Amino acid sequence: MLDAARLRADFPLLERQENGRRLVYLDNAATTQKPAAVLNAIADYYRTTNANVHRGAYSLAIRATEAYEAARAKLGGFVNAWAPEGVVFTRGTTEAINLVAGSYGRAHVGRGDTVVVTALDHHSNLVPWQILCQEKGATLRMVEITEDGRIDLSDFGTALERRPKIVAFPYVSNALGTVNPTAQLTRLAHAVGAAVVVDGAQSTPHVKVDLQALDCDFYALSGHKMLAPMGSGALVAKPELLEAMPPYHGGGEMISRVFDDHSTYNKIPHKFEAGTPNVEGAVGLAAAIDYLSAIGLERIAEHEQALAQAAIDQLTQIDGVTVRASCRSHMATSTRTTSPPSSIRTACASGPATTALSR
Amino acid sequence: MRRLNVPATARASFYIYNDLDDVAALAGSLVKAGALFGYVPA
Repeated sequence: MLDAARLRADFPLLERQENGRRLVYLDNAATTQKPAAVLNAIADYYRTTNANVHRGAYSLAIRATEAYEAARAKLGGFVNAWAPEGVVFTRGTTEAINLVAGSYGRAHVGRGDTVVVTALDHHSNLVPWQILCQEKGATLRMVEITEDGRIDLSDFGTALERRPKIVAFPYVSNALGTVNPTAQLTRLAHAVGAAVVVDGAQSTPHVKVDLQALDCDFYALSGHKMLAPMGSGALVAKPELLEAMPPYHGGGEMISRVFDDHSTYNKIPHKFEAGTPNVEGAVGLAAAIDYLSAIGLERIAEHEQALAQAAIDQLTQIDGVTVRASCRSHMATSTRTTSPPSSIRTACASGPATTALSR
Repeated sequence: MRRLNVPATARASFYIYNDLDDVAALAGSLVKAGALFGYVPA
């Protein structure tokens, strides 16, 4: 296991007490705390480098642009993206999936077509597809999950018989922590001609992601779940798909030439980054990647699995608690037969330690 | 949760700075929650 006590000292918020006790923070699937290295990178950016990017020819603007583009290249390397220009910075996973639904989806899904999602999906990988299907008169087909919280492969196969235009699923599920066989699901979906959208919000912080090996078409991730600032994240996609897609948001930065009645669009990834981007978020994300890489994703996964296994072992001993989790994951979700989570949270706050539990 | 047919769940999720003391605190808190709110065996 990792030396958690030493790492904990890098996180100023975790040094604080809550309700007069040591803070026990166990809501990392919702968001993570930030190490001093990330906080300092953001402060340093504003103290030494800040200017608008891709707009100025003066040295400060050039340095800001270089910092922003270096963060893009770093993130691309971290997930083994197809190319740096396939990395579009977004506010996070939700905006990334909305981008795919609003641009690729609108261009490729029509009346009578099918979009496939799974019952494991978080709202961010469900609602954008509901909106798209309602708008286009398309069918949204939800693949069932098994009793132990895995995608039902038999039902997945049945759903593919409809020859969907898009298949969306999470690499690691938000609610249960299940690790899905993403490369296999992608191959099956590609075999019927579907584009594959993977929600990487819960996988990027915890497993070594190799997008070229997974071969999905779109991958969405959030920085805030991996030690980076809120409002940082990305859509990582195959560049040739982004090239062919219509723009999503209109505005500055995404245009090449503007006439009174129309515009021509910038090259990727800038075509999808309208307006002044979140440069501090990108810089903070790059610092978070450096921090995580120094530890190593394999060691992180090993540490989390040991903790999840210990939690499963201890929680299953408690009367009335049913544990729903995969021992391969970083999460343990428990069901107490009668108490709603808000009651559990109240009980925990008065307990020997404060436990952050998500609703 | 509808798919699993459960009324509510509590999720604990770990990261690099969590340790076995945190796991023990979680287990202790769930025991306390059970004592406070009671439960109906499934």
